[in-house]
Amino acid sequence: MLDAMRRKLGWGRGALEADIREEMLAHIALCVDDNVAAGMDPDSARQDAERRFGDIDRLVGEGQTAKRSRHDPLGHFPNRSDRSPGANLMNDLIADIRFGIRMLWKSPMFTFVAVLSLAVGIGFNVTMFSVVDAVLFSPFPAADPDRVVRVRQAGDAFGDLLMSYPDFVDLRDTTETFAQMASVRTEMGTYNDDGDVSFVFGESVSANYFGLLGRPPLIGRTFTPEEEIAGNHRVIMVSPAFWRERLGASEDVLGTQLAFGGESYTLVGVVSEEYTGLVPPLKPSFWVPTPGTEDFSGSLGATSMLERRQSRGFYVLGQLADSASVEQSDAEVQAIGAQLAAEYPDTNEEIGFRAMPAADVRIDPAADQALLPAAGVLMGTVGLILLLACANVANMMLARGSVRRQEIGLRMALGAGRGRLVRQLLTESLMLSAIGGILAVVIAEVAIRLLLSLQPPVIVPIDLAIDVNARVWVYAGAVALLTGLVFGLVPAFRSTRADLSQSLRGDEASSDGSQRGSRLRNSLVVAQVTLSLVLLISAALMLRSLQNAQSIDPGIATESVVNISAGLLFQGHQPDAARDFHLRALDRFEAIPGVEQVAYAERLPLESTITATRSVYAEGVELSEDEDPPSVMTTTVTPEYFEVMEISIDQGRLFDGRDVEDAGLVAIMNQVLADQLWPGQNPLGKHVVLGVADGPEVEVIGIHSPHKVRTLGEEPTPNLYLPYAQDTGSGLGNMIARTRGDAGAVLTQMRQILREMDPALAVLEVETIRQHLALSLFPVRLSAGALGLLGIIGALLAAVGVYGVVAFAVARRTREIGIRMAIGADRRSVLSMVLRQGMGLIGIGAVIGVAVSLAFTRVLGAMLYGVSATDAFAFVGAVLALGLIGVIANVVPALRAAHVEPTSALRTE
Amino acid sequence: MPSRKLSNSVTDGVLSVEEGSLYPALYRMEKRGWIRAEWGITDTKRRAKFYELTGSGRDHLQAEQNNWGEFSSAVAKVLETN
Repeated sequence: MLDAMRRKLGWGRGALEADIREEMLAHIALCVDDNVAAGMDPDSARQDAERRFGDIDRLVGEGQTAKRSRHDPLGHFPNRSDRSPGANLMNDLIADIRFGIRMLWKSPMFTFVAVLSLAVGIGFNVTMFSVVDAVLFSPFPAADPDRVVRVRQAGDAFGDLLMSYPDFVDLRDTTETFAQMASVRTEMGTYNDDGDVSFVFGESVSANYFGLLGRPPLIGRTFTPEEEIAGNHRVIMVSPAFWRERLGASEDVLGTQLAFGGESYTLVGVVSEEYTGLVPPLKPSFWVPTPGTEDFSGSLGATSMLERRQSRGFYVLGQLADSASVEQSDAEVQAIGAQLAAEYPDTNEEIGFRAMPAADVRIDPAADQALLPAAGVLMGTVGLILLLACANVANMMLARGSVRRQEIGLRMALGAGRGRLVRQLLTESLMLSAIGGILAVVIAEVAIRLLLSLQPPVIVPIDLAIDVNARVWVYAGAVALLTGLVFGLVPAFRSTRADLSQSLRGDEASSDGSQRGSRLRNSLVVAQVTLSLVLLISAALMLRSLQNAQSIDPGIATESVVNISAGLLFQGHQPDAARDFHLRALDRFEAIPGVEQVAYAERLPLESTITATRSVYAEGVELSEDEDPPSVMTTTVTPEYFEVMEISIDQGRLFDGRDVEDAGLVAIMNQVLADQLWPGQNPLGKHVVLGVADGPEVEVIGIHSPHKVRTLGEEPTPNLYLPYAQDTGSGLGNMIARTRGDAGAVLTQMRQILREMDPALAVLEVETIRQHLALSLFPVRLSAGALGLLGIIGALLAAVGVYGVVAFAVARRTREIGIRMAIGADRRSVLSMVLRQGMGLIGIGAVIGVAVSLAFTRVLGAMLYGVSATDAFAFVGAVLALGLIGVIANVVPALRAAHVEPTSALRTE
Repeated sequence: MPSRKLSNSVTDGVLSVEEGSLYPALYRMEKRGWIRAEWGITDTKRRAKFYELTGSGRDHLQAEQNNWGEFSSAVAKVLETN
C-alpha cells in the first residue's frame, strides 16, 4: 500500500527499488515465456529462468547502488564497482591474499627462509618482552589501583619499601587519610605433604588485605580480624595453582588441615586468579594472617618480629579515604613519621615515611631504577636481532623483486596502478610477517617454558609469573605488523618504480641497485657477520672454559663423598638446638653400612648460593683511618671435615677435644690469608678478631692445604675455618660422609634418618660431591648454552643475509655475466667473481668482528676458567665456522651464475 | 529491444554470467548518458523496459572499439614474438 503510493509519487527509496524489481521480474517473465514456447512445462520453465537470472534480491540492491552512485572510478566491471568502496577494498584484499598465497607457495624455499628468519627475530623479541612485561609492566594487582597507595621509608635505597610492624600499627591507628591499611610480608616456608616436605613461597597478610585490593577469593573466604590475633591465626589460603596441582582442585579440601611451617593450618580459601603476589614476578603459593610470620621466621631471636621496631620486613599498603588525595596522605605519613622519630629516637631517628601511588612501584623503587635501563638494553639487543632479520627478508624480497620485475611490468602494462601493485606486494610481506609472528609466539612459549625449567641452584623452587598474556600477543602483533612494513615497503616501492619499457625488455642492470641501496645492503650484511662472530667467539670461549674447568683441581675430595643438608636455621630451629640435632644425626649416620667417616660443615667449598664474609682484624696490625680490614669467608666445621674432604694441615694442628665452647677460641686459615695479614711471619699463635673490632680474640692454630673457595676459576682466595663446638655459624648446614660402595643407598638412608628424627623437616640438598661441583659450573654452562644458541642463530641469519645479497647481485648481473661468458669467460672465473663479492663482505665483517670481540670478551674474563679472553683457538675456530657458513651461502648463487646460458641471458628474457 | 535479447545477441552465449548482473551495468551506462530506457509493451503483450543507444553512447562505443583494437593487436604481437 505504502509502496504503491511511493511509486505513484515517484520519490524515495521504495520507488526506485520497485521500478528495478519490476524490470527484473519482467525479464524473468519473458524468459519463462520463451522456455514454455520451447516446450518446457511451466514449473521448470520458471525455475530455469530464475536460476539463470541469479539472486534477484541482491541484484536489486546492486542496481540501486549503480543508479544512485555518482561515479565509479574502477570502470565497467559490474561485480566490482557495484559494491561500496569498503567492500571493494575487502575484495582486493581477498584477491591479494589469494595471489600472495600462490606466490609464496610457488617459491617454498624463499618462504621458508623468510618466515623462519622472522619467526626467530620476532620470537626473541616476544620472549624478552614477556620477561620484561612480567617484571615491569604487570599492573598492580588491585581491582582499583588508583585508590591504593604504598607507604614506605623516606630514603631511596634498596629495601626502603619495607617498614617495621609497630610502625605500621601506629600508622594504621593514627591515619585519617586512609580508609584502611594493610601489611604484607613475604615468607618462605615448608609444606609437608604427608612426609614429602618441600619449600614454598608465601605471604603473611593483614586480614583486610584482599578486601583492600578488591580481590574476593576464588572459593572459600579470606581472613577475619579475629584471626589476626596470635593463637587464632592458624588458617591459610592457597594459590589457585597450588590448589589445582597439590590439592586436586576439589572444593572439599576447604576446612582440612595442611602442614605448613611445622604447624597445622586450616584451609579457608583459594585466592583470586587475579592476584599473583605483591612482588613480581615471584608467585606465592600460600597466605597466612600476620601472626603466622612467627611460624616461618622463628630464628630471628627471642622478641617477636611483630614487636621489634628495628625489624623492617613489612610492605604497607593503604586505601585512600574518599576525600583524600595521594598528596594529602603523603603529608600525613610524613607528619606521623616525624612524630614516631621523636617518640622512639633509638630506632626511628633517621626514619621518615612517604606515600606514593601503588602503581608507581614495580619491585622496589631503587631496583626499578636499575631494571628499566637493563630492560632497555635487553630489548635493544633483541631489537637489533629483529632488525637483522628484517634486513635479511628485505634483501631477499629485493632479490626476488628483480626476478619478478617482468611479471610486475606486465601487470603495469595491463593497467594496474602503482598504488595497487604496492598494496599487493605489501600484502605479501605482511602475510610473511603474520605467519612469522604466529610462529614467534609459539617460539616464545617454548622459550619461556625452557627459561622457567632452568632452575638456578637455589633451595626454593622459584615460580615465576611469566606467560604469554594478552599484552604479549598485542606486542607480537604490533612487532609483526611493523616488521612487515619495514621489510616490505622499500622492496615494494623499488620493484614498482621500474620503467615499464625497461623491465619488459628485461634490462635489469639499469633498473635497480643504485649505489646507495647496495651500500646499505652490504653494510647490513657486514653488521650481521660482525655480530654473529662476536657471539660465536664468546660461545667458543665459554665452551673452552667449560672444558678446562672440568680439569681444574679444586683441592678437595671429588669422589666418594656425599652431602645432605636441611637448613635447620631456616626452618625455625635455634642455633644451639640445630647444632644438637646435627651432631645427633651425624652419630646415627656413622652407623650406616658403607659410611667411613662423617663431618659437619656450615657450608661447602664452591657453594655458589650463600656466601658470607667477615672482617678480620689482625693482631699487631694497625689500620689507618680510611682503611678497611680484609674480609674472609668463615666456615664452622667439625674436626673430621678435613679428613673427609681430603684437606691436609700443613702447619700447626687440627681442631680437637680441647677446642670446646669455654676454651680459648681457635681458627685454621689458609696461607693466602696468613700472607695477607702477616706477610713473611709465622702466623701460628697469632690472634685475629672477627666481625667487629672489639670482638673476642681467636688464635691461629693451623694452616690448611690450598683449595678453591668460591669458584673454580678464582685467584687464590683467603679462607678461614672455625670449630663447630665454638661457633654455630649461620649457613645452611651440610652433613657430609665419606662412603665406599653405593653412594645413592647411603644418601637414601641418611634422608630416612632425618625424617625419623623430625618428620616436619624439609631436606634441601641431597647430592654427591661430584654433583655439588657440577652445580658450581651452572653459570658457565648456562652462558655457554645461551651464547652458543645466539651465535648459531646469528650466524644463520648472517648466512641468509649473504645469500640474499649475492643472489640479488647475480640476478641483477645475469646479462653482464652472459656477456662475459659470451666473450670467453669460463665458469670458474664467473664462479670466483661472484664468490669474491660475497666472501669480501664476510671478510670485512670478520675483521671487525674479531676487533669487537677482543674488546668485548674481556667482560667475560671473570667467568672464564683457564682460558685467556683472547684465546687463539676459540677465535680461529669461530672465524672458520663462520667462513664455512659463508661459503655455503655463497656457493648456491655463485653456481647459479656459473650456469647462466650466455645465449638466453643475452636474449633478455 | 528488451535487454534480455540484447545480452544474448551481443555475446552469442559465450559469457555464462548470471543474466541479472546485466542490469547494474545497464543502469550505469544509462547514468552516463550512453543509453536511454523507457517502459513499453512487448510482442507478447508483456510490460518491459526498452533500451537504446544515445548519440554520446554511439561515440563512446566507437572510441572503446578503437582502444580494444589497439590493445588486442598489441597483445597479439607480444604473443607472436614469444
